[in-house]
Amino acid sequence: MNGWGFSVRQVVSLAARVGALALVFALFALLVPEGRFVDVRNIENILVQSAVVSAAAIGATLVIIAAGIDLSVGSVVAMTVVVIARILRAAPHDPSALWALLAVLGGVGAGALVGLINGALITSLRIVPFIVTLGTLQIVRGLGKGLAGNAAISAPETWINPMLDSVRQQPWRWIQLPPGVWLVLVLALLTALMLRYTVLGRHIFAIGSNEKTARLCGVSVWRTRLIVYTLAGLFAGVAGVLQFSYIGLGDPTTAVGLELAVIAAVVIGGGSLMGGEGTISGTIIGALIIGVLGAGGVLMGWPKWIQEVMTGGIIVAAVAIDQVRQRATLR
Amino acid sequence: MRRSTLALVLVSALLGACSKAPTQPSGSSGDARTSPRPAEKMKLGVIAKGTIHEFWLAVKAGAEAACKEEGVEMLWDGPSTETRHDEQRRILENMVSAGARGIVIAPTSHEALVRPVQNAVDAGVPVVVFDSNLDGDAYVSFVATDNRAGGKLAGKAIIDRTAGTPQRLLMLRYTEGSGSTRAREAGFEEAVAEAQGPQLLESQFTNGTTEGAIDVATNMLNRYVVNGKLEVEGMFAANLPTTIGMMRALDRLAKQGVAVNVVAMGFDSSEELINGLKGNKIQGLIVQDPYGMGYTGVRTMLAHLRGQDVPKYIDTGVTLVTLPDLDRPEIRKLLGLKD
Repeated sequence: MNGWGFSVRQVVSLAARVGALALVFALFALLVPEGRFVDVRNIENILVQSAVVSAAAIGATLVIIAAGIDLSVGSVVAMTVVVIARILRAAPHDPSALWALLAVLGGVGAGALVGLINGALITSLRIVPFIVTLGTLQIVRGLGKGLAGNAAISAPETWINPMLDSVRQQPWRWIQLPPGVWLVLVLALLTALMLRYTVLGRHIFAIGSNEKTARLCGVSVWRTRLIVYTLAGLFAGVAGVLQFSYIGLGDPTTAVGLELAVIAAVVIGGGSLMGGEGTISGTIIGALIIGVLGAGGVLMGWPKWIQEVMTGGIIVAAVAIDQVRQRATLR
Repeated sequence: MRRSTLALVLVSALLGACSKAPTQPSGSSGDARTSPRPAEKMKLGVIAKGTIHEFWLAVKAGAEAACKEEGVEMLWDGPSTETRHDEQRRILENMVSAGARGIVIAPTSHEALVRPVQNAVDAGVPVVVFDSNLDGDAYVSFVATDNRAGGKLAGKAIIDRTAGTPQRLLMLRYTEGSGSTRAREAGFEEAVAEAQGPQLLESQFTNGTTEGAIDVATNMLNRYVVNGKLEVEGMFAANLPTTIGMMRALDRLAKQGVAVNVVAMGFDSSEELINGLKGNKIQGLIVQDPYGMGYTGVRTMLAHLRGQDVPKYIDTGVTLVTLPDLDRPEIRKLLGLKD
C-alpha cells in the first residue's frame, strides 16, 4: 500500500485493462481505412453507445463485489423508459422542463424501488439473488408492458431527448461530450470514491469476500445488501433515462438481454462473480471494450455474427488472463 | 411418496385434458359452413408478429372491426419480440386448444411456422396468413403488401429525387430471418440495378431492436463522412425500427456538424416518423395498409369458413407518403391521423 491506499496489484490490474482497451482500439485504428476510427466523431459515438451499459454496470459492480447478481437490469431499463413516457404524456400541454425532471425522477425512482424490492426479497426470504432477480426480471418486464398498455408510447420532445446528442454544434460546446456521457462519468467517479473511502464501501467488499467474517466483525449484512440492491436499481433507472434519450420512445420491449452485456462489462473489468473483487474504473473500461468492438465491427463492414463471436471470446480471455496473472502474483 | 403420486395423477389428468382439446374444433367446423351465425359466438384467433408497435395495433383495430361486424369473438396475441418463433408457435397451439375455428397469422418465420400451421390445419382449423409469407401451401390465403413492389417504389422515388447527383446509396436492413423485409430489400436492390447509374455502397443487418438499428446506422454512416460532409445521397430502411434508427442516426450526424444532404425513405409509419416528415428529417415513407390487412384477413377467413372460394393471394397495396401528402384525407386515414 502506498499513501493513496492503492495496492501494487490494483495498479497493475487497472494498467492491464487500460492496455487491453488501447490494444483493441489500436487494432481498429490500424484496420479501418482513412483513419475513420480515430475520428473525434467516432469516439463520441462509441462513448454514447456505451453509456447505457456503463450506467447500469456501475450498479452491477457493487452487486457483484457483494457476491450477488442482478438479472433484472434490462427489465428495469424498459420499465423506466415506459414510466418516463407515461409521465411526459400526462402533461396538460407540452411538458415543461420541470415536468420532464419529474418524469426523470419518476423513472429513476421506479428503478430504485425495484432494487429495494430485490434487496428486501433476498434478505428477508433468504433466496439466492440469482433466483429472486430471475423472478423480478419477468415481473418487471410484464409490469412495464402492462403499464405501457402493450404498446410503444411516443412522447413529446423535452430536454431529455438531446442528452446523448453531440454538443459540437451547440453554444455550450466547451463541455465537449454529450451531457449523458458526463452524467455517467460523474456517477462512476462518485461511486468509485464511495467504494474506496466510506464505511459502506468497505462493508460491501467485506460481505463479498467473506460474509461470516463480516458478520462477526459487526457488519450489518442485510442492511448493506439492501443498500447495494437499491443502488443497483437506481443506476439501472439512470440507464433507463439514457435509453429513453437514445431511442426517444417508451418501448417496453427495449433492452432485452441488457443484463448480460452489463455482467460482461463487469467481468471483463475484473469483477469476480465469487464476490470481493471489482472496480468501477475496470467496469467502465469493460463497457468501452464492448462498445469499441461493436462500432469497429460495423466500420470494418463485418457481419454481426463475427462481432458476437469476438465479444464472447474477449469475456473468456479477460477472465483467463486475470487468473493466470493472479496466480503469478500470489506465488 | 404419496404426495408425488398425487402430483403424477394431476399432471396426467391435465395432459389428458390438453390433448383432447384440439380435436374439438375439427368436429364443429362443419357446422360453421352451414350456419354462418351460430348461437354461441364463434372464436377466431388473430396472431401478430408483435403487439407493441403501432403497425400491429392498426392490424388489431382492423381485425377487431371485422370481427365486430360479423359477431365473432377475436382471440388476439403475438410474441414478445418478432424473432421469438417458439413463442408464436405456443400461442398458435394454445389458440387451437382454446377452440378457435380459424387462425389468421403473420408468421415470424417463413420456415419455422410451417409445421405448426400444418398441425393446425390437420386438426381442422384453417389458417389465413397475412403480412409475411409462409413456405408451402397449407394456408387458405395470403393477405399482404407486395413487399417487393414496396421496396422498389422506395428505390425509384429515391433515385428520381437524387437525379443529377452521384447517387451513392445505403440500405439499413432488418434481420436475416424476416421474410417481408428481405423482399423489400430485394425490391430496393432491383430498382437500383434497373436504373444502372446509382450504386448501392453498403447494406447492414440489425438485431431487430430500435437501439440496435440506431447503433448500426450511426456506425455505417460514419464510414462515408469525408471532410465534414456525408458522401451519400440516398438511404433506405426496411421497416419501422430501422426507419427510426436511420432517422435518428442522420439527425445525430447533422448535430455533430456534418453536412448531410440525403434523401432518406423508410417503411411504415408512427407518430415519431410523421413528425420526422414534417421536420424534414426524413423525406418519404412507404406505407402499407395494416388496418386493411387485419380487416381483410379476418373477412377472408370467415368467407372460407362459409364455404366460399377465396383467392390464394390478396394484395393490400403500398403508398408512398411525402410531406405534401400529409394533407390528403385518404392518406391521413391510412396513417391513422385524426382530421
